[in-house]
Parts: sequence; C-alpha cells; structure tokens
Amino acid sequence: MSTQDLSFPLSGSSLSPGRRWWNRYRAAIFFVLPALFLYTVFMIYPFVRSIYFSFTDWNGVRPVKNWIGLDNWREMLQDPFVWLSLRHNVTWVVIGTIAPLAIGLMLAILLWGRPKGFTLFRTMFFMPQVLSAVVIGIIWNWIYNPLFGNLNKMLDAIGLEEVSRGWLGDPDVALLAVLAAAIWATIGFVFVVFLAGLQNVSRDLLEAATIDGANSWQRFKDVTVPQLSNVINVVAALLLIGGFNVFDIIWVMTQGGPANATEVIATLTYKEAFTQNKIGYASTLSLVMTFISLVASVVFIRLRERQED
Amino acid sequence: MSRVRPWIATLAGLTLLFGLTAGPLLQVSDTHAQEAVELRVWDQFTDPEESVVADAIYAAFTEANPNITITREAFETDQMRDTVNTAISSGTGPDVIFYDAGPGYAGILVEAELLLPLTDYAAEYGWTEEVSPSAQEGTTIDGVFYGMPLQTDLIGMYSNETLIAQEGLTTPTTLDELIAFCGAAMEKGYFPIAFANNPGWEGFHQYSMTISQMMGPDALRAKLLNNEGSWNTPEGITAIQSFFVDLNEAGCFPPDVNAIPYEDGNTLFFSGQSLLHTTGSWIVGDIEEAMGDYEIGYQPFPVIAEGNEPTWVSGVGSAYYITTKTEHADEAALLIDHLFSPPSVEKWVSEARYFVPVKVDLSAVEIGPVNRTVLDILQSAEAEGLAFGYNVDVLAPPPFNEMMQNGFQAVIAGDKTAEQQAADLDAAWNEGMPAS
Repeated sequence: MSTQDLSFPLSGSSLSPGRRWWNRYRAAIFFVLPALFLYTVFMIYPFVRSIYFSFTDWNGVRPVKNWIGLDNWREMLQDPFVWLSLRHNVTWVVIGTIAPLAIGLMLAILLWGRPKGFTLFRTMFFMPQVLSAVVIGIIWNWIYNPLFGNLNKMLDAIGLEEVSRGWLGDPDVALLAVLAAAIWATIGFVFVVFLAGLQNVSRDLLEAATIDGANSWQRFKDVTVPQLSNVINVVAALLLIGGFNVFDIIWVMTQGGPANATEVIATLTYKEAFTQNKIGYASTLSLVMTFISLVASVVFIRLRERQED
Repeated sequence: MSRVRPWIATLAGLTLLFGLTAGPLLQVSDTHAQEAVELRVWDQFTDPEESVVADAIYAAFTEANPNITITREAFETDQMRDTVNTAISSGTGPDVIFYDAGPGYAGILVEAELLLPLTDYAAEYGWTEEVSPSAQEGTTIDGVFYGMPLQTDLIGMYSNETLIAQEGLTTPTTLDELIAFCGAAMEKGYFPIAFANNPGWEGFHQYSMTISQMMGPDALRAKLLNNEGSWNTPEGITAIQSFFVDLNEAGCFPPDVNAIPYEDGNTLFFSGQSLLHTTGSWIVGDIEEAMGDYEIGYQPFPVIAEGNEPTWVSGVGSAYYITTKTEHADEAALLIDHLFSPPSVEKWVSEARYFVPVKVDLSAVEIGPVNRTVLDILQSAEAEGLAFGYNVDVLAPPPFNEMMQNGFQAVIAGDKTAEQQAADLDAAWNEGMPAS
C-alpha cells in the first residue's frame, strides 16, 4: 500500500522559484502597493504624459494633440527667454545655496554652546521657516516698497539716499532683492538642521585639536565641517533642487518682472502653460527643469562623496 | 320651458366643483413633475460686496424657478484662468461661467468647442437688440455671438478737481499741458499721476489710451478685429513714447513706478497725494467710498498730437457663457436672461457698481456722481455716435500681452526704446495671431 504525502507545500525545495519568491516578498509587496499606486498615479503617470505632451502642440483644452516631433525642443533652444531664465536660475542656485549654508552654519555654531537666550534666538532664527512663501513675499514687498518701505527709509536715515531705489522695479537688482527675501526665509531651516547635526560633532576631537595648537578657523575647517559633511550634503542638495524649481516667492513678488528680470524656468513654464496656453512647450520646459535638478544634485553628491573618500 | 334633468345638473355641479378645486392641484403637481435641475455657475465675484449682489440675483432666479437650484463657485480671476480649461474639458466644470472675453481666454475655449454659441438664445430672448454693439464685438468670435457681456469698462483720466483748483492748477487737456502740469504739481509736493506698474498689466491700459488716440478707433478696430495694419508705425511709436518715456522723464509718475503695486497707486490718488489717475472705471466704487470730500473729474487722456481727438477707451471685461458640456442649456439661457433683466441690471449697477452694456433705463437708479458720469458716457455713446477706443489686451493674443507687460516695464526702466518696443509688439502680434 502506497503512502500519500499530505503535507502542505509551504516551504522546502519542492516549491518553484517563483512560488518561493512570492512567499518571501508578498507581505512586503502588499505594504508597498498603496504607496506605489499613489506614486504611479501622481508621479510616474504625469511624468510620462509630460514627455508625450512635449512632442505635441497641445494648448490645454483642444481635444486634438498634434504630434510635432522635436519642434518644441528646437523652439526651446532658440528661445532667448529660456537662456535668460536659466541664467537667473544659476544665479539663484549659486547664491541661494551658498548664502543660506554659510549663514545657517554660522548661526548654528554661534548657538552650539547653548548660550544665554538660546531658546529665544533659535525661535527667532527658525521663525521665517514657518511662514508661507506668499506671506514672506508680501512682507518683503512692503519692506522694499519705494513709497513706504522700511529699507529705503533706513538707508535714507543713515545717509545712503543714493542707494535707495525701487528694489523690485529696477531690473538690475530685482533678482537679488527677491533672492535676499528667499535666503532670509531659508536660513531658519538650514540653521535648525545644522544645529541638530552639531550635536553629533565630537567635542573630544575639538579639544584635541585645540591642544595640538589648531586655531578657531582650523578647528572649524578641519574638525567641525568634515563631521558635518553628511548634513551639508543633504542641505545643499535640497537647496540646489529648490533653486532650480523656485517659483512661489518670485511669483508673489514680481511674477518674473520687471522686464523679465526675475524670470526663472518655473515662472516661464507657468506662463507658457497658463497664460500663453502652450502646454506642449511648457511640458518641454518642465522636463528640462527636472533634468537639470537631477543632474545638479547627482553631480554635487558624487563630488562630495569623492571628497570624503 | 324644458326642465334640466336632476342627474345632469348634479354632474355639471360636480364637474364645476372638480374644475375649481382640482385645477390648481393639477397645476401644482405639474410643477412638481418638472425635472429638478442643478445649474453649476462659476463667477469671479469674490469681492464681498459684489458677492452679495450676485447671491441676491441668483436667489431671485431660483425663487422664480423653483425646480432650478444654483451651485455657485466664486474664483479669483487668476485662479479661474488656471482651472477653467481643464475643468470644462474634463466635464467637471460649470454649466454657466462668468469668464474673461478675448482670444486668450474665452477664445481658447471656443476653439476647443467648449462654449455654446448663443445665437439662437439671443434671438429667442432678444439679447442682441439689448446689448450695445461694441460690447457684442467683445464676445463675438468668428462672427458667432458666444457671451453676454456683463462688465464694460471705460478707461480715462481721473482728476482731483478740488485739489487741482486749490493749488491754482488746471486739469490738462493736451500732452504739453500735462507735462507742464506735472512740473507744477511736483513743486507743490504731489506725485502728479498715480501710475503704478507692478507687476506690469497696468501698462496695458495706458497704452490702450494712447494707441486708441494715435491710431483712431476705426484703424485700431481694423487692426484688432481684422488684423489690418501694423503696430510699428510712427503713430504706434508716439503712443509708447508719449506715455512711457515723455511723462516718465517729466516726473509725472511716482519714483520707481515699476516697483509700485497697482493698489498702492490707487492709494496715492485716494489719499490726495496724486492729482491724476489714468485707469479704468472699475475703481469708481472705491473712489466714491474713499474720496467723498473731493470733486472728481473723469475725462479721456489728454490730446497727444495736434489733430487728434480725445478718445475714451472701452472694453468688455467678462461675460456670461454657457459651456457645451452642460445638460441644461435651456435653463442656463433662462438664467442669463434673468441676469440681464431690468431689476438685475439695476442691482448690478447700483450695488455692485458694474457698467452693464444693455439698454435699460437707469435714470432713476441712485448712484454716485462719478458712477453716473461713466454710466452716461457708456449709455449715450451709441446715440451720440461716440466711437470708443479699444482696451487692447482684451482683444490681443497672449504673446502680445506678454510683450506689453515686460516691454513697457523695460521702456520705463530705460532698457528699451519706444521704437524697439513698437517693433517687438508687432512681432509678438504676428506670433500670436495664427493661434488666435
């Protein structure tokens, strides 16, 4: 009489590789699925659609989307406003990354030893971070206002009348004026992250460096900064990406004006899409913006990693 | 004499009784049998005062038509421009929309066949006889009437007559007088003209005034509606030069005018810090509210060159449209007819201070003096053969408007000449025309 194997094939070498893989990962897959679904619907699908739109002349409402090949890409390369906007973006990224990093780090180091008034200063420095870009834009519009703005009043009061001007109306300084407002708003975030990062910096190493005769700058440069490198990487990458995608504060303060002096790729994209009704062309610009942010971030992180090695 | 049989008399009596009692009941049940309709209406009445007026007018409509309910959503203009295209095309938009006229706005929706031609309804309700011809032009695309214009604006120059007289000055009627006026007003501590050009759209209206006068209404009409002629002409260059260069150099504007928001410019005029304000009739309500102690004049922009006629500028702001996605076009048309009925128009004019371009006797409506001036000009224009200039941005394609916004700022900043701007405007027009 033959015996029948009644055991349930849950595990063991009798299972097919596919079945084994499924048994091993199915729980993980079920956990990932909701997020994957959302990511696909709100990120992957729109991204793929944007690629498609960039090859069409769609105006956003017309049912027909004519395939125009590389025309949008060619137009972009010949569009002087794209290059102007890119130049502004580069200015924004360079100054808008270095300035908050430097100022935020300096403030964090000043408060590292928890001096008197630590909580007050920390709250003050972080305060702009809790304000929305719209509020920040409105506040700084008032500060810069040539009729009643406090900046010009202050400059006049200290005898610098010739420096006073319509900060947001002068094409030569408008971008820097908006950038200053954005830097003020960003410093709080950078400061708090650095302050947290500094808690992991070894004070023993600093003391050892002091005993070895290192001065303050050398201790900062050779001991503190290397230990903060991961934090610097993350913050710089975020600022870089933010710099290439900047839109809200510029839109609130100048809408890219005066005379395109504060135009960046994001404001140009918005105008092309919703004012000029050129969704196809705007999709092309948005893809370029994504690509540049991606490349800049990857290059920056790789450089930092190489430096660490 | 024959007698009526008792059963016939009884039957007749019952029939009469039934007729008297059941008739109204049947009528009621007929009303209940009417299909319940929900109309989704999108408008731009976010100002609390205007919103209350709109609510009251919509409520009067639903009261008269109990089977119809209105679901109203109010949007800021920019917000509506961002959402309307995708909302209507995806079928989630409104049945009736109060939206900007012009090729860049309603024109795009017409091109995508998302707005319903109103020709048949206009004939049925007699709208085309009621609406002024110039306002109809603003909502007529390719010869088809699409929208009922609710808001017509007049653009000209406000003057604070009280302060001008107090300072021993005279309201200028020519460009030379205006330049001299600016010098005198500056000496007395005023910002002569309350012009403010951040973010730049206010320049549209200044250009509309000067180009309307320099080209003349007929030539401008031919350019805007039939694409005949050019923007890059000696007249076109003078239109730019006179306002954005000559007046700027004469110190007529507040300092750093590109940096001053439009609302701050208004405040300069309301507070008596400026004597003149070149802008549209949409601020009449604010003027009457804020400047009750002053006598305010309103006139066309001063004559720029000898032989020119003083020219008012007029343009349709927004209009009511019916979308093609609606399943209740008849009810939507009924609503629009109600919105332009005499009682509604009275409300729009007297309470929301809108200038509705329809033939309604508004002589008995109680409104302020500046409001009355504007209304009289708009209403009497047709009878008096007064030709209005055009609010250019309403009828221009988007690239042209973009060039106006950035280009005039550049001219004011000294980064561009009037000649370059005229050439750039012409190029932007030609770029935008095929799509429009």
